[in-house]
Amino acid sequence: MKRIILSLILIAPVFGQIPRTSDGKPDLSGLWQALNTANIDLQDHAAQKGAPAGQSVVEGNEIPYQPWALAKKKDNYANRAALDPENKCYLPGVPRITYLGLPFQIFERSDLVTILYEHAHANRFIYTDGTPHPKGPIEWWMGDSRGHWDGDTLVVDNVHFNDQTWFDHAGNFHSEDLHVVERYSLLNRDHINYRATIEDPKVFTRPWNIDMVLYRHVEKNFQLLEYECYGFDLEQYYP
Amino acid sequence: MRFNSKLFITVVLGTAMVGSAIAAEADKAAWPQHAPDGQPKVEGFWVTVVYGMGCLQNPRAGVGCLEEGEEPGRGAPGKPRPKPPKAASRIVDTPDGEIPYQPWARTKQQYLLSNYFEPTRPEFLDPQQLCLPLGPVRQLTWHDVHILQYPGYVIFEHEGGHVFRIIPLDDRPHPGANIKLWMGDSRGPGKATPWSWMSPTTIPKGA
Repeated sequence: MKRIILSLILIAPVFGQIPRTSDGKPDLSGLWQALNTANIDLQDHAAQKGAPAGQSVVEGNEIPYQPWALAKKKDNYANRAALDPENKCYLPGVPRITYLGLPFQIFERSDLVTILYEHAHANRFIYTDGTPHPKGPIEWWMGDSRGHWDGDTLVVDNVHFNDQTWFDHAGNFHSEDLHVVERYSLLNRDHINYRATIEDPKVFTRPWNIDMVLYRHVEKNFQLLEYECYGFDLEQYYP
Repeated sequence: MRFNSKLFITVVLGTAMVGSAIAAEADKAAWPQHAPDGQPKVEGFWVTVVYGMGCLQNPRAGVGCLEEGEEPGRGAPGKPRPKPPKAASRIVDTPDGEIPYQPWARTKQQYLLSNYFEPTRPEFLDPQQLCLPLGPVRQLTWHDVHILQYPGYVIFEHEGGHVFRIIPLDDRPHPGANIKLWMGDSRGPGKATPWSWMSPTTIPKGA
């Protein structure tokens, strides 16, 4: 027993180490994926046909809607099959692209972090060179991202969204005033703690947070493929 | 459709010859500069001088290399054929600058072209008109491309259609042959040389 405990003590630092780039920053490079049901519903939800049950990723399990917005969310939920932008293959926005259920690849260097997603060739450029957001108003599907390091955490500030995306399939929505601050923190080599603060004074009464773990793909030769969701009805014609 | 890597190299080199960098001008005397991992530095925003998405043989011509007023395969009825502006063919290794189709493939190309302007079936629709990914060659002729270089990787991020390509610079195997991809699957050699990483093997679905 003593030997086992001693071994665990000796190897613990190895598991706790995180990879770093040549300039000493945590190295987030690699292929990652969220393994949860947040894309179905950010909050606690029971199973439905084709949609497994899942636990909330919302801190406190409450999304602080304004009264009119809560009514709209309920209407969205009732009509989600027709209204969910994902079903139309629109770009899913931030943070939904992170937990949409498909893998993504992070490329990191000191001035620019690039994230490429298997879903619909979505991509994001997170400028970490100190440049500010471009002057708005701009309404982009994926917003504009600027990052900086807070210790070992990559903090990404996102603005300039449109109001066409949802947070999940349950009808949770936002306006074009959405402001998302993401925090990527390596827990160890193969896990990232992903936390996002969501703020939208037009829709919510206060900022709120989601929190989840991202898992590194370690399978041999794993790579991004394509999920061109708007092309499935057509690809039969282009063999 | 099986991808012709020789054609790809030809087109890319042709595009590079007529293209120009939008990015800040590098020190030409020192070109190509190299990244620490040996990659030649080609990062930046690039665009072809003439998009030429509709015609490889004369990039200034329209779809199917037709001249204004000309109908596919017949020429404009009762009307003199206007002289189109001319640009060099991007097919640089055939005597006539034409695509060296096999006879059956030329027939198919002409068939698709003859139905291009009044499509009656889905397969007559140009994938570009549907905003589908255009494949690794044609995508270079549609809007800007942002080339990014990371250790071990080159990334092409295309403004047209919001698509990208990831080119790993190592010898990892391609995915299985049954995995068909609009933008193909690309590999560069482990030891990068000025242009050799731009000659990947691909399995594209796009036209």
